[in-house]
Amino acid sequence: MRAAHGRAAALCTLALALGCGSCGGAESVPSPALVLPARPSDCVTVAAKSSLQAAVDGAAEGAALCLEPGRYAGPLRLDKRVRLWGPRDAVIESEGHDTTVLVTAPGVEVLGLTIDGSGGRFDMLDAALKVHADDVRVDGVLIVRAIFGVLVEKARRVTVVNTEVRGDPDSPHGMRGDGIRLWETYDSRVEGNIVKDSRDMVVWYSSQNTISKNYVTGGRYGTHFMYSHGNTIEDNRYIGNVVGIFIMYSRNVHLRRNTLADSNGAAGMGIGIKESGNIYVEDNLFIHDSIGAYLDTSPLQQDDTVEFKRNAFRLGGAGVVFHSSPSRSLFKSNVFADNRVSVAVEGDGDALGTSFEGNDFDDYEGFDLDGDGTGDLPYELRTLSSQLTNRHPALAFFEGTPALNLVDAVGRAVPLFTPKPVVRDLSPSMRGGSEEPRHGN
Amino acid sequence: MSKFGMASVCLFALAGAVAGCSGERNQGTADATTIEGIMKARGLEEKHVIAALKTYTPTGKHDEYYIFASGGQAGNLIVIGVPSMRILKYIGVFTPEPWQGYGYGDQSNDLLKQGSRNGKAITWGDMHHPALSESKGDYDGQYIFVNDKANPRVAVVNLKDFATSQIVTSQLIESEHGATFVTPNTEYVIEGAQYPAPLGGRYADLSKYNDEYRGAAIFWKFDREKGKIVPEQSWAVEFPPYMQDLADAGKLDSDGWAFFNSFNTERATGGNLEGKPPLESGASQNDMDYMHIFNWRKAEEVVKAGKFKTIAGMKVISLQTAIDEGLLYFVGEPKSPHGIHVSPDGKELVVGGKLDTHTTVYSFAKMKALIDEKKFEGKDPYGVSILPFKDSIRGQVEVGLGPLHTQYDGEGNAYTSLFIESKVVKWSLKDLKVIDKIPVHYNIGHLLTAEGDTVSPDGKYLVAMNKWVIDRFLPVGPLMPQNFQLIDLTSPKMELLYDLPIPLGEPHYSQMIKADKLKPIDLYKPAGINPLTHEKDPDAVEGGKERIERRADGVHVYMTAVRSHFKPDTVTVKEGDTVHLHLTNIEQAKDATHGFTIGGQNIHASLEPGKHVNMTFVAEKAGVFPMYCTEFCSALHLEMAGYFLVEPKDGAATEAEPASPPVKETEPKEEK
Repeated sequence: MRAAHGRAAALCTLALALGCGSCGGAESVPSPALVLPARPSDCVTVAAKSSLQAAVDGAAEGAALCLEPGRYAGPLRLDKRVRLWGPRDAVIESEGHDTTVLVTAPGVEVLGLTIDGSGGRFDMLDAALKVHADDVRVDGVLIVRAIFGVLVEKARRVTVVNTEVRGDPDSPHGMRGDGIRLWETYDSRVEGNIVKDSRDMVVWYSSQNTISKNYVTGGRYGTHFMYSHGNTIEDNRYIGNVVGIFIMYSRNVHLRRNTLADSNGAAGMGIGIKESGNIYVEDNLFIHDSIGAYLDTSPLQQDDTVEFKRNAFRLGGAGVVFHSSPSRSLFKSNVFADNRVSVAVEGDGDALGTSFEGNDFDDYEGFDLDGDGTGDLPYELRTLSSQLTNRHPALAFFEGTPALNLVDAVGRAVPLFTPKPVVRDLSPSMRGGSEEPRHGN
Repeated sequence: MSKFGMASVCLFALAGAVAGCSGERNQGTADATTIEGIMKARGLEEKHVIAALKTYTPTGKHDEYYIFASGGQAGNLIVIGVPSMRILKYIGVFTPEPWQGYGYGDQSNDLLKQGSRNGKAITWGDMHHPALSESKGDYDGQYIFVNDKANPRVAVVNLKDFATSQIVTSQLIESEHGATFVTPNTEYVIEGAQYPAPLGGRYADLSKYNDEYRGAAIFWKFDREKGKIVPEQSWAVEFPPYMQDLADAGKLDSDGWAFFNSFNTERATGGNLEGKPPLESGASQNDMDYMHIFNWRKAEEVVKAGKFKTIAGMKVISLQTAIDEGLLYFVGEPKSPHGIHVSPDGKELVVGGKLDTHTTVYSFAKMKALIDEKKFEGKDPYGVSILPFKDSIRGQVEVGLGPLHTQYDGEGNAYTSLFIESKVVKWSLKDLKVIDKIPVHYNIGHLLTAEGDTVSPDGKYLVAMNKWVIDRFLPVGPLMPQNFQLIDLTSPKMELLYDLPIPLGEPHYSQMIKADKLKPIDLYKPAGINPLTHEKDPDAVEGGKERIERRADGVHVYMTAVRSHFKPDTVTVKEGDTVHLHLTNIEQAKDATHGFTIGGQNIHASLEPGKHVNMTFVAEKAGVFPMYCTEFCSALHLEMAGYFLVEPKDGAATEAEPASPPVKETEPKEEK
């Protein structure tokens, strides 16, 4: 009964995540969209095919330059505080090498328009738009056919909003560049952008930034954090990336109300957390991921924690995989339903050192006679690691291969023993997933 | 989708049923004489029993393979048997090793001094990558070379007796990492620099990094007949100031070429105290660094033609000459590359990027064609031509997070260590598809398969060399061992067999060689062999010819050791004498090793049967010093002792007051 209910709910959630919007009662976060910002009122018009660089060079500090529809030759260097606006069909073109638009002055705004292409050198970080100054705003820009989309380096208070970076879906991941990349960048905001078919979105050596309401799809790392602390990741949709979010060597990260779906393949995972701590993961949806959440040696520091609250893990290979026996983490009020396995621990370990409280497991076999919404018996997932291996989602591509003959032989000769407990929740929830997040439109 | 749900329900029902069944089975008391009982008592599962069956090696049975593992900071080499994972030996290389008497008074002192840098004796080493000698690209079991990253040195270990026989060093470079790698017939031992510095040990301010700092690679010429590196026939090539990383020599199709990874092509120099970004941030900013493609065969001709300059006594091909002569090319490598591994057929190179999820498979033929046709996509700031990345590769494989190193088996598969994911991934080199993955604990660095970097890999076994252990072993305080995890490659799925803690130093790379390729001696024959030369020592002592001679340079003691005495067993010298001890173990019996020490002199020799050692020291203090055998050799081992008497200098006070009054002879007690 409960499993069936869970499955229906999960399918509904999946449908929501994929944008059908037919399930009632769901809260709704507006989808990101490429929005053309308003034309500045104090514009100096730049005629198509004229020298854009000359126009910038001749402009006064603080001036607004508005492009007419048409094509403009790059590269362009914005080395004074100007606002550059263009309709979508005002296109700044790469000349086939180097970065197309380079911003080196604080306060520059790039509004609307299209940037077409970049050079092809990975070793030179050829980008459509490279920002190397504080207080820069990138708003509503469409970027196509570039190796790197928006690179922000060594900057503070940069805003990248309502922008779309389109990569090349026909190119293997490794041959693409990063859609948006923050490098040694602080106090900045990446919001409401669409990043399609690029390689990674990268936040490295960058702290106190907000990544929100973005839609990232068809990439390798939806967002990769390394040595980046105090960042907030909210209301994003990561669909169909190899890895949704990967957090390495970072602390004090908040992830709220994100959807991480269809992270498949051998390395597929919704969230991966490696050697990081004080990671707060709340109200996220993990749907149809090879692994929903993968924790490797996290929390790392002695007094740190990792907390997963009110997340839903559905239709995945494994809900949560620990690389080893974890401790000091908390899993509270999460929903695990219709996964091949709810929780797995590698290396013959267990997750008994992690607090599981009030989680809803669809494979719970207990009951709630007193009707208080909490199961009367503890939830225990018991498994032999050899059985686990056979069901491990990372090995999903072995499905159909014959089991190890020797294992079978010994298994017959030596009867099985009671499997050891891997996970224990003393107060499993019986509320049937009613508490799970519903934001995945 | 709903199939998943059903499948999981079924599985759990099954698991529940099994648990129920076995619960009943376990009602009775376990009988520790049955497999079942032992498994229950020790909490073992079937796979553990299988692993035990695959690794346990009964007494007297020998292992199938040797592993030679670097001892990391311990500066020595670790020898391990596979599949038992029994540690067989530590070989002193860059570090004094007391058991072997290595660096404690005998001729090995001089050997260690060969590795002095700037006149300073270095008594530790940071050993990273052993390289077994090769013939036609296959291990031949004769020698093994090792490096010291911290104090650039290369040592030769003779596998005839598993002992170090030579150490060479050059002041050209100040650190290294692309070492040691051998060319397919061990023509050269490659030592590539790591952290750029002004060549030859000069000073230059960091602000002159781009102009004055340089990388380099030394090609040490090896004379196989003599078993020695010949510094006079060795040479080097100058590289731009990138941090050159691991290297590999081409083989078969790519023979004559060598390949070096690099990072920090950004040329970041840190300065975080001054508010600049730390080095690691600056050094990982670029999306690609450069593989250095180097034609060593042609370079050899360039050196012969005299087109070199001499720096710190080393013949060096300048960067400009390397460019002008067409010796050096670059091609991009993704995301902080680390390992570079030529495929068994020599046709391809696999590169892993520490921060990548792919390994990249480069085609040597494609790169060679681009070089021949001069199709370049640009030049680096120093004028080195860069091959177009996309045209240089066959493809990429999405193997997982943080691929570092790759090894091969004999069936066309590659095995790559995934540092970030803490896994080993098996993939097909043929169609670039992932086949299998296994978790390892924790943070794997290098990995090795049996003969996995040769032209004919065996595969069969793999060892994951893990940097962290965290919870794998009994706690031993904050400094924890490393973890070698033996993995079986003969099953359809990789299976973990054994965890071996490595209790000294951090091994980096290791190699695994079929045991029957080695023909080590079990004693030195005839007696009197100097292990550094493997020839009879001029001062070897024959039984019956023991003597003490006083000469102008001091006292020469010609001594033999045989169970259970040293002869002479009493040696008297004068305070201040220089003592030359010539000591031969004249035994020719397997494992009849003696040790020799004189108390308080900081000398110790290991005397394997037939071995001869020469020790020189100054008898600085008058007194009576017992000398004895330190290696239990016979029933009368404790009696294998004598006195080393140092008489006071003439004219010095003859004797101090005795500490206690003379002992009176006492009457024998009556027995009850």
